[in-house]
Amino acid sequence: MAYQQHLLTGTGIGLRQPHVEHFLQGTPAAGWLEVHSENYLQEKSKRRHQLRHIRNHYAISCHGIGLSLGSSDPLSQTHIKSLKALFNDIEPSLISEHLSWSSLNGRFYNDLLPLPYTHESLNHMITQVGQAQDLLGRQILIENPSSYLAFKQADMSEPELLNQLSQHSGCKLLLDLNNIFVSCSNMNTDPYDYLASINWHQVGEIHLAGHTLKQLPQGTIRIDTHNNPVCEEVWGMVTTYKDTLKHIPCLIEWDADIPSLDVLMAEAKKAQHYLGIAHD
Amino acid sequence: MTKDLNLAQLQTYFANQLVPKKPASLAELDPLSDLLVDSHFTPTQVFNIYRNNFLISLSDMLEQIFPITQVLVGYDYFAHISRDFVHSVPLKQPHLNDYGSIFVSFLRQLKALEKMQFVGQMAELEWHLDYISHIYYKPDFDFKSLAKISEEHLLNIQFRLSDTCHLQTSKLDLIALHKDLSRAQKLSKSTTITAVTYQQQSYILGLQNHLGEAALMPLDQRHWTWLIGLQNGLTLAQLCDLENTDLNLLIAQIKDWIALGCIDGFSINSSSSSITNANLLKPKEYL
Repeated sequence: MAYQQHLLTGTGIGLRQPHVEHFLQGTPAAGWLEVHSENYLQEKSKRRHQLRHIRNHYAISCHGIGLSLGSSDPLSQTHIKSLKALFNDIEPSLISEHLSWSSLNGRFYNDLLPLPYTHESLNHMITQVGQAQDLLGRQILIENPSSYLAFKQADMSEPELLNQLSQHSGCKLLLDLNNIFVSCSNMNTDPYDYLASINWHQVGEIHLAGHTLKQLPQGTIRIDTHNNPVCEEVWGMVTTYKDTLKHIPCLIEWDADIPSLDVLMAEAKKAQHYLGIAHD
Repeated sequence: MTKDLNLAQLQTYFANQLVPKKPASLAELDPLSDLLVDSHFTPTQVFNIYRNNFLISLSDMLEQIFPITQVLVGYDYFAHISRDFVHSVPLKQPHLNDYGSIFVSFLRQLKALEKMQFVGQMAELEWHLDYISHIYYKPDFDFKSLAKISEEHLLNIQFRLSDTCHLQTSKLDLIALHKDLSRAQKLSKSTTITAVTYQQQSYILGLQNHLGEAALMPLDQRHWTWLIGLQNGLTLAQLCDLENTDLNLLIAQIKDWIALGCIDGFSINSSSSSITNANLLKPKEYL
């Protein structure tokens, strides 16, 4: 099934509640905006009404955390229906979800939980992503998760699984460079090996965010908290891959300890600088 | 523990570790090491990150919705019951829209709060205030259609309460209690609440004000009865049958409630019983 895709360009920011008023009152110079789909599901909510207004001025990407595509549970038809209504209402340029699971036997854990990278998981994800795309009538981008552990049961690496998933399901990839750095640091692997393994033709969006360092007796573990500026190591990855990345829509995510809009916009400009993209 | 688990088995095992029936000990988490690639962190350490994410994300949401209930029962006790709630009451949807209302029921059933019903009442009030504050509502009452209603159908009108209205009653003055605790919370002051101070039957209307914010309004018993009647779909005729109800006063009050955005529409119920009133005025003269 072929899906129409409207491409985003430049650097976007995650639209979070403390900044909404700025976008209702004016048009700050963000390239595009990304929202968390689950915060906008209620049709008669203020948030949905505000998003309809903002949609008139900005391209929107809807980033989901609730589809639980990797769960052995079947897809929630109720959730798909709510998402479809949202997408039909807002007409986002992109929609995305995660390579993870969040629910089991009907219970949701409100977190992105890790999958074993086995043939079974790959086949399951291909089926689930395919079903979701068919039901939504749109192509989905799948994001690599942050990991703190890896399962012994593994038939392939994470980038291999993502490449195969996009090839066989028709989805695109959302590559979060901070997640790659966090996972690789915690697993003691090389993020540049990860980047070298990715099929970049399938990457439709980039995420950049900050994380937190937690000191444990054995060393420092990196936790994906989205409450800090992008770290130098991740900017280094951006610089190394800038010729590839500058053609892909790039987003600054900041979800906790949210700073002023000026700080967030400055981070977006920094991304454009590292990518070698001219900005106003 | 074999490492050859299928996806469903592995996820079941993972989920069981995520929500332990009792605080997990190192021994309980040990089998996980059979499943995980060796790292310089222990299975317990890495697993605690997932457990914390799960617990904290839901507890934070409860703290945001129930700030006054939190002050009322104390921060430590609220943290304790939040944790119990998150662990024992599954989130059944991939969003948090209804989880807070289930927390209210959970509080009401707690044995420890059995003799403090006002805690559940305050939580119910906060839940509705939060709900009301998130609704997009632009009052747009159809006065033109109302003016066209013929005199013979006037008493068959059923006015509709807006979704942005919440009615609640308590044996305590919940509005005063809410106000005092809000002030204490904003000033980060500890406060001692004596239930006796607030012992007064209260009738409460929660509504969205003209700024789109949730607001509380005290009602007298008569207005409360009328609003409950409206909520239950009573016609003007049936409302007039209620004790102490004068049609003129009732219609004047309905006019105020329309102005406040509490009433957002109406319909005609011609099957309901009606009273006759020789002094009926046309609706447009009232509204």
